[in-house]
Amino acid sequence: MAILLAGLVWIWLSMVPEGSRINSLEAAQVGFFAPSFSLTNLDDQTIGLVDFKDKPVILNFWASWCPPCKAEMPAFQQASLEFIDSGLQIIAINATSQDSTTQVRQFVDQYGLTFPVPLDLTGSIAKDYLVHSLPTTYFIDKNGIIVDVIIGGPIPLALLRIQANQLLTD
Amino acid sequence: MFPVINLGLFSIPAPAFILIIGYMVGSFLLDKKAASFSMDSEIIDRALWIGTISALIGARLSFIAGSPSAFKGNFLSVLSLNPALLDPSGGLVIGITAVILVVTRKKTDYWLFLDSLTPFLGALIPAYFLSRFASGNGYGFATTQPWGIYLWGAIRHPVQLYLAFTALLLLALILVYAPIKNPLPGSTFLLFSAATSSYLLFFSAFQVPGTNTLNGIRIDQILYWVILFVTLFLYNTLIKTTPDMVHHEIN
Repeated sequence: MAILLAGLVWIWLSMVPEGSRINSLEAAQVGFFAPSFSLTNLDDQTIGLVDFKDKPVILNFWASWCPPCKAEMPAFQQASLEFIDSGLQIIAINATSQDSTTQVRQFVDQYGLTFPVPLDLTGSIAKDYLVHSLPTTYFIDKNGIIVDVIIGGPIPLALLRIQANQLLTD
Repeated sequence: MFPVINLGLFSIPAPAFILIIGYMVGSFLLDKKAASFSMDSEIIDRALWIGTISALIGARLSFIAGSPSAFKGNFLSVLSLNPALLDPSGGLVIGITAVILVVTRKKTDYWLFLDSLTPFLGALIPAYFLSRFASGNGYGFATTQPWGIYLWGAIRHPVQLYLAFTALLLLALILVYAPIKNPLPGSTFLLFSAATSSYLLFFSAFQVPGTNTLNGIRIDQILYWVILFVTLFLYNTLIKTTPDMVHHEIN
């Protein structure tokens, strides 16, 4: 009885103050704001996360030599076509510090990618996002908060559809 | 935090790797301790395997059942190796159901079965907390304590390590003392469950909660308290209804 009473008191004492769940920090982890970035694409246009403010974003890190990246990219392209009108944005950051722009251009043409493909030339954004292995995909809600992370792949289209619907519903 | 172990060309997801190690160690301990619980290790091994496979298949089926339209025109996704297409709670329910069916069919005493399963759970649970540490999930509140770790932009309570070390301590106690003297069938499992829910209830206070709060109260703590209540109630009922045993009622 004493143990149970102590348990109830502890639950009361460890109540969470309002607002304590909201992290104001940027970190590559669920519940935190997605680290901001500003990169250029193959056409030298600047692309940043801030450009997609108030939109849910699926942010994928990839390289042209990575087999699971190749396997999952058609699903990303298909999802992009299916959800672009709903306001969902797919961005595929290329780990260019481990790749070459020639290979990236060939890859983008081969898979007919229509979503933004920024180039992480120095690897600093992959570092901010703690990308330890490719592909890695972040699901970011319209408030800029990371709601899920999937390390590895390939991610099938069905999972992208489910995640996209959740991002658009939240 | 170390979500991936890079070995040459191979990238091994550390959380899954730690869980598999925990499962293997648990299976080894289970076989070693089964006889001391007067249990046939073959039955318990079979129940565990069938339970695990059913849980994996069930987790995938439960995930598909949750969003069948997502698989429209893309049915091969059903066979994807990606673990993100698993529903853990659905898998757990189906896995437990499969284990109950095996145990019932083999006419094995449920309490004895649960007792002999305790070393397995005792090894799997610390592995689970270590896997959470590896992934960086389940992190703690910011702290000024000297043992705090830098994670996600702040010095934080290493809650996953508090939980893992306590779970390892409990495993050591199981290995040394289980089965306890004058054992009542079920007592080892019930005491293990009570201890586990107690430390979870205590340490979760240091963890940054997810969205599972109700007016500031953590739902997970309520769940641990209910488990504690049920296990203590069952334990007290067990010792009251079993004659010729040394009774130590828990107050």
